[in-house]
Amino acid sequence: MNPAWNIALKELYTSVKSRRFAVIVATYLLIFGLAVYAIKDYLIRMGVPTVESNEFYLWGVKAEIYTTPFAMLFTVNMMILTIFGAVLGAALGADAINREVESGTAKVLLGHPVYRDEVINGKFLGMGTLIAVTYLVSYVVMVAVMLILGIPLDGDSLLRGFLAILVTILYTLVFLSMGVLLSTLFKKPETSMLTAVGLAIFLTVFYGIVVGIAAPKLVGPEPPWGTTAHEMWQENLNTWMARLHSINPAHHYVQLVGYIFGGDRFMNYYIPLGDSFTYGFNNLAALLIMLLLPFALAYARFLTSDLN
Amino acid sequence: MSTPAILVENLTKSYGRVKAVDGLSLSVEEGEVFGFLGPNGAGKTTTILSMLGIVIPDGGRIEILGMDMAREPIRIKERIGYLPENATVYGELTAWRNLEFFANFYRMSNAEKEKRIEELLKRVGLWEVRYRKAKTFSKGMKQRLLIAQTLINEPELLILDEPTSGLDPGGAHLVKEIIREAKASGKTVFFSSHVLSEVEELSDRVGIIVRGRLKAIGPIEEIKRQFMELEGYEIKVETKEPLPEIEHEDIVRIERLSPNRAIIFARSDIREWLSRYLASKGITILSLEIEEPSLEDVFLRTIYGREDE
Repeated sequence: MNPAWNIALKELYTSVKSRRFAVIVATYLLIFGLAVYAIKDYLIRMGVPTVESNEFYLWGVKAEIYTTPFAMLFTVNMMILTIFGAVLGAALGADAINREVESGTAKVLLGHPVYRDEVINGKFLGMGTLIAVTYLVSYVVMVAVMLILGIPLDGDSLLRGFLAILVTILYTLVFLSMGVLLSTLFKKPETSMLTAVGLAIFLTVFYGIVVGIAAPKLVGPEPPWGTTAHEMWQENLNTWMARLHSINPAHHYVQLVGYIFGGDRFMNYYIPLGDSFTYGFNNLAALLIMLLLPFALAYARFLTSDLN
Repeated sequence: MSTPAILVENLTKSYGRVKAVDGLSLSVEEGEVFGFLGPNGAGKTTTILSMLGIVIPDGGRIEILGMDMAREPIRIKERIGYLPENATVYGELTAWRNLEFFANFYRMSNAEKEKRIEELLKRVGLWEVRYRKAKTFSKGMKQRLLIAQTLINEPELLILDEPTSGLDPGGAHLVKEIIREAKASGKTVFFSSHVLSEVEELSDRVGIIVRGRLKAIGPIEEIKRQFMELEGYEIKVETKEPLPEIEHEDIVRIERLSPNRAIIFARSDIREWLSRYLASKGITILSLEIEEPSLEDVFLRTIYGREDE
């Protein structure tokens, strides 16, 4: 068996049985269940879908969403997953390396014919598979919820929902990658775990508030309303908001989902998927960079450090 | 001349300002049992971890089974078994799954794997608990499982770091048996230990490392002989008649235990001279022997006595 795949299977097996995975998934399911319960009547009574403006202030995203019942359900799920996905990814990766070093299993493992890169790749692959399976199951659950509520499903919404799930997997892998990096930087698993989960919560819950406070300070005092100066100030403010939000994976994720379910008011239907891809290309690229950069750093650190 | 099983040349490794291993060189021949001795923090584990690439040495060259560790780590690891110190197995996996996981790194068919795992679990006394998660095991049971994973690939070379640490007498006996069997089947064993009696009992040669430097290396008898040359000889003599006055330029002091028995501390082996001298005085020698230092004496003196030399 390929060593990386052997490690991945072990990682998948142990992670799926871990308490933290069970706690995070159970909490997510509880909140998702409550959310579904809260909006089920609205979903059932929804008339003809329309394109609606949605603002996700915390993540600095404004999106025109074609609100079919499935798009509506996914948007609610996305808001939950923006936080829980980040926490799940960060928590899974945060002790991937240092726990093995601390317990001494890294020494046992590396006494066998396995390269260090196969160890880190295997771990990432295993936990990535777990994340992917979890989200694919959550997608099936969403479809099941729709069917149970007796809400008709259209193929386009299902396809876009599936694409959005793939983006959600990518988004969670970004935090997994950050977690793995922290697990190579900190010696104590407890420290890296706390830092990773703290960072995930900060970026998905508090960072938007910080941006809302910091951006006006960076731009300077607000000129009188209605003047040209105010228009320039507003433009400047928007630029700074966008700049500050651009370092947050949650912003790119929510923006991408917004584009996937994006609607055209004139057509009163989804924008073509090609357009969604074009609009969201920068966000997708940003997420990919945010995934690869920490992983590359973690990789370099793991390959060159002493594991005693 | 055959290729050494282990060849370490000028190995150095520092942690910050602390030199853990300082220009260490040693070689272990094929089929040899080599005991690696040293006090805590002497650099034993760092040497072993460097040999396996688990810590990255600052300098030096390591060849194992004739292959360069820096270039062919995988081919080397396919043929060795390593038992680390202060390590553990995967607690979430059962004893069987742990061994299966490690066996998957080697080219073995499923049938071979199963047969080998069964053999090893029976060998280390964990067959009855093979489906129990390792986290429920005692320290000794975990160590037995670690021993089993060391042997999963039927290695030609065993590298064991404190193999009896944490084991009950039964477990320690098992380790000794494994080492003896390995030697009997021509395999090489490199092991570190604090238990000097164990090292003395099992090793063909020993190396003593102090503060990252190899202070002594060779067969135990040779090391003891060198020790005596350096530290002096302790000669026990017993005669039928009372011992006369004995004077020789190499004698440091004489400790008389009774009129007929004494211990002579000398700078050289003066037994031949002494037997001639006592014969010339018409004294019958009942016994005349050198009191050999124990490995513990040599070890302690090497660590604490000759560091500044």
